[in-house]
Amino acid sequence: MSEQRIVLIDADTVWRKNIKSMLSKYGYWVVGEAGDGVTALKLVRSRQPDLLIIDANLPGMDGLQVAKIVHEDKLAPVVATATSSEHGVMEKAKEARVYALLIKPVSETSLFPAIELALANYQEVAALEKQIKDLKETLETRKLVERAKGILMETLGLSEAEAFKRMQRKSMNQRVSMRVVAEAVIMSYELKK
Amino acid sequence: MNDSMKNEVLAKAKEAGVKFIRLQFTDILGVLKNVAITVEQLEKALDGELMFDGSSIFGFTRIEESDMYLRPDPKTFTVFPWRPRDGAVARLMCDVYNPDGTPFEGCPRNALKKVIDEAAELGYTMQVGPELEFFLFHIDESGYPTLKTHDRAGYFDLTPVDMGEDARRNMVLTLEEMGFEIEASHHEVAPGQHEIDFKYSDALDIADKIVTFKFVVRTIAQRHGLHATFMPKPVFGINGSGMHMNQSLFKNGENVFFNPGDPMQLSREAYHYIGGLIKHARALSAITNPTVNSYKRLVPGYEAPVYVAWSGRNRSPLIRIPAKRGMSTRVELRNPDPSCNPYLAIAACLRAGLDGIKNGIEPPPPCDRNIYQMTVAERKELGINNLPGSLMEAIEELIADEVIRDALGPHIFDKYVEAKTIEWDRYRVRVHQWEIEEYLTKF
Repeated sequence: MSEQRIVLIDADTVWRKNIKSMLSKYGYWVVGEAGDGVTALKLVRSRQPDLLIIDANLPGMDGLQVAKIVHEDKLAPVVATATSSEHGVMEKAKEARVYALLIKPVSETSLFPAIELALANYQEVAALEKQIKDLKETLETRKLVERAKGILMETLGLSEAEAFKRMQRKSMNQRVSMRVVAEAVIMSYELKK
Repeated sequence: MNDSMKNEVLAKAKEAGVKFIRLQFTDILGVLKNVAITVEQLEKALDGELMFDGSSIFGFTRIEESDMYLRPDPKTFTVFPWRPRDGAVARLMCDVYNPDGTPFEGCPRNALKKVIDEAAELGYTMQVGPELEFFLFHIDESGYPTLKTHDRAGYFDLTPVDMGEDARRNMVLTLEEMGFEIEASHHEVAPGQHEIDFKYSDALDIADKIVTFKFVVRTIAQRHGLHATFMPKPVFGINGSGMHMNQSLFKNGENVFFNPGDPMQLSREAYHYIGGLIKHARALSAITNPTVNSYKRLVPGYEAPVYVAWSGRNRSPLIRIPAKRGMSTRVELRNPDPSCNPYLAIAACLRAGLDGIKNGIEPPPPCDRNIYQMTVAERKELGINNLPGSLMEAIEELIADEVIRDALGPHIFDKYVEAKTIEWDRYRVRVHQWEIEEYLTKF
């Protein structure tokens, strides 16, 4: 197992010490720890850990609010801890898309699988997100190329294959993507309208 | 609003998966307000049918004005990039209207539009390019902003990243996603001080953008565990934060300030515009430098202007003419600071400039010497006046200046002077730390 880097946030220093020793026993590396939400954000941004373990109840900025920002900015997967799932903690945990919510006291046997699953699922989600982004991009490009092709066929009286070839040649000669060429064709057509 | 624009906004909201829309406007002091609605109410909002209680907003305070309507400007529809896609949040800037369908005269955006229309009658459109400075400070463990800019030694020893630089990069990326064209972004002179400049645009668009900019910078800073402040002079002894305003007038797509035949390559309009700004400079300050703290920035030694003069070269006077000519010919007003209400500040500047053009006000000769090194007698001989030394001095100038008063309109003027007089009084009667240090042991 490669060494996974973890940031650990809890207001209770004794608790942190215990969890830290558990983590190092399993071969994880705690690269930063603190007792408040503001420092948590700074640590996650500067140390770029593989995982954040954060308690819901923190002074200053609340832990699940930090978790939400960490999720939205795609910084790391989050495992949250709390003393109970009441008082809207569950709702906030859902909204922050945390990978697990562990109710204290936390045992080694529940911590380890939560961390491993968070790490594995995060990889999966990241891969899927990238795939979606790529597909969207491809789809968008295809739409634009189709439209540009139509414009060239209409204005220059070309066949579909010729129109495509002409754009392809331009793309290669100018060393720009097909999308850029298509956008230029559409823009110049709209200007003439 | 015409149907095609309305449909375009509705389509954009649908495409981006928007769930909530914030209808934004500012009060007279420039504080951003918003009414949050769900996407189901968007169509009704776009038709200007959404009402809110204006009596709780500063400067809208008369009880008979409690029912107000928001009319969103569809051109300002923007999706906030920092929210997840599955429940995105967007915003629309709004004008405030009375129940009878007339523009509410206490709405700063309406006030700016009025002056823009006045310029349009003469064939002019105003272009503005602002340069906003701000400080990034640390937040303490309990969530309160501090004046600390540097991390404690050894605290972030593993990866020595400047938190401020990282946050600023994120701000630039976010602003770009929101349609800003960022021209420059850099660390400023003082520790923890940053500047981000965006491309000039027409007056109304820039005022909207300044309001948005401040909101984005504060939000992103908070997401980095930092506090961004646009307070003009947060720390004594180092530079304060300004908001230089580059201004020019265009007519039929041409920059009317440019005249290649003139020794300074400036047109008559440019000279008269400068003349107008200089004539009204002291009253303008009440709007462009609106806080007690603003006047602690306008002191010698920190690159902020103190004297009412202009120059093609040096940076000590109030107005500088940057070297660029042609389409980029412009007048840079250097006293505004980012605590001002951008709608009112731009409206007042434009009105002062137009007064110069309409009445052919000649500016004094340009002053290319370092004014800080002149004696009082020398300054007097050249007719170089000071900017006001305090908020109250500026307010008195504003009261005496018919032109700038008129730019604000009677409603905003009255409320503004009332609020600022109270602000000054609260400051005046307080015993400050400096007095304790100076006098407690001496007397």
